[in-house]
Amino acid sequence: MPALKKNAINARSSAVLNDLRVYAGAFQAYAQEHGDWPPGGGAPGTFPAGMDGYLSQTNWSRTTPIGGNYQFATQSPQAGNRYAAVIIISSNGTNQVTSDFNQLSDMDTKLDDGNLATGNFFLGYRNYPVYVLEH
Amino acid sequence: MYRVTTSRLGPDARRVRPGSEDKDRGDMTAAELTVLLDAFIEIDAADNEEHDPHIVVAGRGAKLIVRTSRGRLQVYDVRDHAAPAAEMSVAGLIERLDRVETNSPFAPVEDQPAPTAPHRGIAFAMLALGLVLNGYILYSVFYVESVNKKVEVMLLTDADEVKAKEIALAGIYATGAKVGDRVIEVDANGGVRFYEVGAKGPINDSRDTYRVGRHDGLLCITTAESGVVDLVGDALVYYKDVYQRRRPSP
Repeated sequence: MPALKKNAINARSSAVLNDLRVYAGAFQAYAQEHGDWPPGGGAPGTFPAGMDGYLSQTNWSRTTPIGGNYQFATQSPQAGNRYAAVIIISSNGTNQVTSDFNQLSDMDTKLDDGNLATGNFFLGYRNYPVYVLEH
Repeated sequence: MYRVTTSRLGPDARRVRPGSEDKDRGDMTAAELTVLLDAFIEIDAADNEEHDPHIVVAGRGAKLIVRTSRGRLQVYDVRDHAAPAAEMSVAGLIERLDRVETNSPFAPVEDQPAPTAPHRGIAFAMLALGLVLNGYILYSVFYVESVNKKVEVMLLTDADEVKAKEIALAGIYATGAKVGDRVIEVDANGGVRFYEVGAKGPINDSRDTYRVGRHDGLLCITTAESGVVDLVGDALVYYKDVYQRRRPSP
């Protein structure tokens, strides 16, 4: 049973990391073509303005494999710093993002430095996972 | 009474009758059986060797095949063909026929040996080990270590002090005023609102209740569902972000 749980964590991590890589590529493509990030200020699960043709609206708006919704933000204050562009996995009403330390640590290990307080993947506002596109 | 059948024996069992089939002698008393067996052991040795005469006797406790050799009785158990012959006297044979074995599977419970303590101990140990193992597996599966650590807050209890702090805390605090910044609005009646400045108005908007307390020497508000917000100077600190109090416009 513990092995089963580990497999489930691994599967969810892989799915989220794949999403983040795809979305990061889409936002960077937009930034290259327009010279700036798309405007932030959208609610979790709301398709970012200007990202038609770069992102799949259905994928962006669905519940993430670890709960909550994806949110794109600019000039976002997170954990005492301000970031130019980030993707946040935010709770959205009753759709809560996981607070499972093992799950989040597994994601950080696969994507970043394995430390949830540092690097490009960390826990920010309300311990929501934050993936930095630009500092 | 004993049920007796003779094989290749004459009526008095003292002589061999070659070719005669098994003869059922019916039930005999112990005395009649004794007479028969006493006659049987006197049978001619050469005839005995050649024709293998024998007697089958069934009593309450056993069914035996009786042969004779050199004036003695050789007794075999019908139920145990592999066992060697036992040499018995007539009296011993009758005693054997009467003896009822008590170690059958149907023997009374009180006759069975009680389980010994070491076996019971091993059983309990294995049971305990199984329970512990199951407990560990369930714990491993369902336990989730949360990143949201509980902060120990000492709540203020003096009503006058609480009211004074609530009035002093009441206000709007923000990380800035641009899109992406966040705002905390604290009222003087135990209510608090969290939201983010969105492109089209507040987003991630939530309301909660709070109580005033202290932790690690800092004044703070502890909310029902949103965690702890520290008061540092005239600013709030929430998840390491500093929220400056907004002054009313002159």
